[in-house]
Amino acid sequence: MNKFFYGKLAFGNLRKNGRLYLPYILAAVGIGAMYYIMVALTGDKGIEKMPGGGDLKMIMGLGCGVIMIFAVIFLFYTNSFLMKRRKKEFGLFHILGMEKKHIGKMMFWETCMVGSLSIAGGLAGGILLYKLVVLALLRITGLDVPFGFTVSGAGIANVAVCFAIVFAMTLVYNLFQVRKANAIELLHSANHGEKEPRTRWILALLGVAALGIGYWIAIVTEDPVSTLLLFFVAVLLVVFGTYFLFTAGSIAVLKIMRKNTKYFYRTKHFISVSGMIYRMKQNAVGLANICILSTMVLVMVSGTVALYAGVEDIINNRYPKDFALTEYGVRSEEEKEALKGMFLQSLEENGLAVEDSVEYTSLAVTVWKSKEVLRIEKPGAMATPEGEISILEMITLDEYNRQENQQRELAEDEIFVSVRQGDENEQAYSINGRNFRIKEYLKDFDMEGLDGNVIYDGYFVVVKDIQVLEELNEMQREIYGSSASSRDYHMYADVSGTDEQLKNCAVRLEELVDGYNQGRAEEEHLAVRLAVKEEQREGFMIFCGGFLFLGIFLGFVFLMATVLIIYYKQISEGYEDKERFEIMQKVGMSPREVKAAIHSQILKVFFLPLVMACVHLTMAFPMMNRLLLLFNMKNPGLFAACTVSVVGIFAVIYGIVFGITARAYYRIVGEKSRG
Amino acid sequence: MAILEVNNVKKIYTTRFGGNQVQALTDVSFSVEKGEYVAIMGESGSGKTTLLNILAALDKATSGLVMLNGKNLSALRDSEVSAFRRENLGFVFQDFNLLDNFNIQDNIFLPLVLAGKNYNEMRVRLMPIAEKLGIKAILGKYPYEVSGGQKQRAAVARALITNPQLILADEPTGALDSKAAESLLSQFQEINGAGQTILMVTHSTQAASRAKRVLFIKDGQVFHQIYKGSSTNEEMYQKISDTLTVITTGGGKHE
Repeated sequence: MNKFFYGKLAFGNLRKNGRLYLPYILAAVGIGAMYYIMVALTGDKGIEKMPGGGDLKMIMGLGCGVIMIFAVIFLFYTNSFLMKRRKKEFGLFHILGMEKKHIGKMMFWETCMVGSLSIAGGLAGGILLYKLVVLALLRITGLDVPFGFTVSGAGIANVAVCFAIVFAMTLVYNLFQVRKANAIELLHSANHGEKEPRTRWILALLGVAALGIGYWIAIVTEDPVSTLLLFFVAVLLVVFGTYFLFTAGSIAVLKIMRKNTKYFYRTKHFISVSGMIYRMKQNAVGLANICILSTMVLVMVSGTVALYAGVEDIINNRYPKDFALTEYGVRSEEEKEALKGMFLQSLEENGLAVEDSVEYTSLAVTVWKSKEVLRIEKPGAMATPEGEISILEMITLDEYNRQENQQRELAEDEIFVSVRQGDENEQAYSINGRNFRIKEYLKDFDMEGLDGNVIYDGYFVVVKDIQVLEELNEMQREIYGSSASSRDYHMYADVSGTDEQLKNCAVRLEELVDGYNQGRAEEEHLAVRLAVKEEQREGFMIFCGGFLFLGIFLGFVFLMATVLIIYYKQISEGYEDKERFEIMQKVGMSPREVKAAIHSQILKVFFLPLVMACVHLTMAFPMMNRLLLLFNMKNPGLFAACTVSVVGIFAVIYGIVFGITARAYYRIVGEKSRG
Repeated sequence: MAILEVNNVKKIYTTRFGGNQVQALTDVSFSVEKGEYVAIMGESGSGKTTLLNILAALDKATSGLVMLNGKNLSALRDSEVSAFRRENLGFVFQDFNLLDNFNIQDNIFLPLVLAGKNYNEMRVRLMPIAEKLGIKAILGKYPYEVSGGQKQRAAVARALITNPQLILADEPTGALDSKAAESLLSQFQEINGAGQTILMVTHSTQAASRAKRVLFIKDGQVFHQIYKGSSTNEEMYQKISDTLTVITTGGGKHE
């Protein structure tokens, strides 16, 4: 036998099955290209040297992992589709006299061809697109380092090896499948008598319960920090719930529909409901996959878009002024004055003029607030104290009068309160039994919102004098022990000057602060911190831009997968439905009715995942909003707008893909079987 | 009164790449009276299936006239064809053509559902038919759960439930074992006895011997026909075999 026999045979097979293999290869090329780009970005020398490049590398590393895991799952999934369709062909070869080892040889060649084509295409695409992607990345993150046209050797090796392994694994899987089956099974495996699926009520109820709890967690969890942890729990619950619901719940619902004879025995419902019952068993998992992938795309892209769109908000929330200098744990007035002097002098030396400044010394204490009762209490391992977690930032009346140029008076048990976020209805506070009357709620308060906290409720409290403050300080120190807060000195300033001056000054100040901190290093967690808005802005742009980039990039990968799964579903369903619709036409169904029935059925089946994904997204919205708070983004309106536009774009793409593949489906169903 | 009239029907296929023309039916004429039970016999390639497709309005004759119940089939508009077929014809196929995703009852209901009948009426129509065909017990089962004979009886029920003018059966015993075939043929006779007109295409002598009349097709023409009259099934069987022998061994002489 010619030694190229199997190769030729394999090549012929691939060509004959072009309608199945082309999308598979294209998808593998796409994922390969994406993976190459990610790997190359991670190892890019140019990016590494940039400020914030480390963060960017970390984010891209995350992307690499996600894409690789995804590539494995996805290639296996589509491969199983292909195998299902091709088993008949293998059975025929077997009956015509090929032994399993010959079929194995043929499959080996096929995999080699598909694999090398995919890897080569992926690398070519990746290398060509790399420059474009880098430019996009730089634009998004606001960086401006020129790059040449680079080719990453490590990237090429990584892609080639990883994908070769994945393809080898699919080959092993396929060989195993063929080995297991006998010829007759192979011949008939594409259309053996499907049993009607049983209704699995327990699974359906479990699905509903899992979804319900997932949603409930997403909506009810108020505390953003526990949100982060519970988010994963909620995501897992929703994922399981979706699978259960699609596999068991859908069948339960359809069977209830079938029981209703008035509804069921109408041409449209008769054919679509029974078709869906029949179809759900084999396709429920596919639909659940589409639903989950779609949700992932939507959550990721809308989240990162919102983060990027809100980056100014975030920076202004977190760094209200150009410079922020904080001394944690004030030891003496002299030292505080020295620090302030050092700060102002550096500004002056670098030619920066102070436009506006605020300074105060405050004690910030965490309390659990329920109405008028404020508790300073150490949370237990299992239970948190009752009430809303709130930050109470306290200053003395002297500080207040000096900063605001006021001459106001307070009695021993009187306070002023300024509410940043929280209730404004109480007449008095009782802090661990110590009672204060609220003399007035302050408006237009200069020191407001400088701490950058948008997560928890916050109250600014002005007490009579340092004695009252110390009294409360003692109280919290006794209770919180080592985790108690200290009285801190804050200095915020807006300045005017050139970017150059600002940059120089920032560098100088950082040196000074470092020196200062070294001098008092022994003292636990007491230190001076400096935050320069401009520098932070750069960091945030890289951070948010990096995430946006990753979001869109991965969104694209997932979208591609969704598209492909839809395509394969349509194609394989087309082959299955062909016969059924032929029979129905013989019995007296008109082609128009056939088309209408097909349309109503596919429409229901395919837009179900999208609708479900939108429900998931709606339920996840409050939780995502709270997660964004962790990034200091507090703008539900902007986030909602981003989400709605992302969903809109996604729906349009989904619709287009649906239209294209539905046409392929009609073509298959409409083909004459004889001839 | 003739329910079906076929006059000088001719069918020519053109192969896909132009070129060759294949004449499937040369010149076919016959008629079927109401209440008749006619079998059409012929070898593979004789044009049986083509004829049946034309009678079923699945295909159109190149020339000639097919009148079913006074209506010219080739004059039907595309939009009318399906409804016409549903209302006037019942089909029984060799491979049953039941749908796997419906149970037996819903398979039988299919043409009625397509015609927009309500559930209660369908039940009323189904019961006597299911009783007569002995499939009452399997109505709730799925096609893959019952035997070939049961499947074919379900298909017969599906054909009968619309009260069609004519039942077209294409090789109905082809996929059945001899016992199931025998019992199906008896049921056909019973149904015919109740006044149902049946036209059956077959190459089984056993099946054809039950019909009241047998038409033989060869090379796209009606070659010969035999009336059963008062002959027994066995005598009819003998007559058919003799005719088939003549057809295969020499042709023409008989006329």
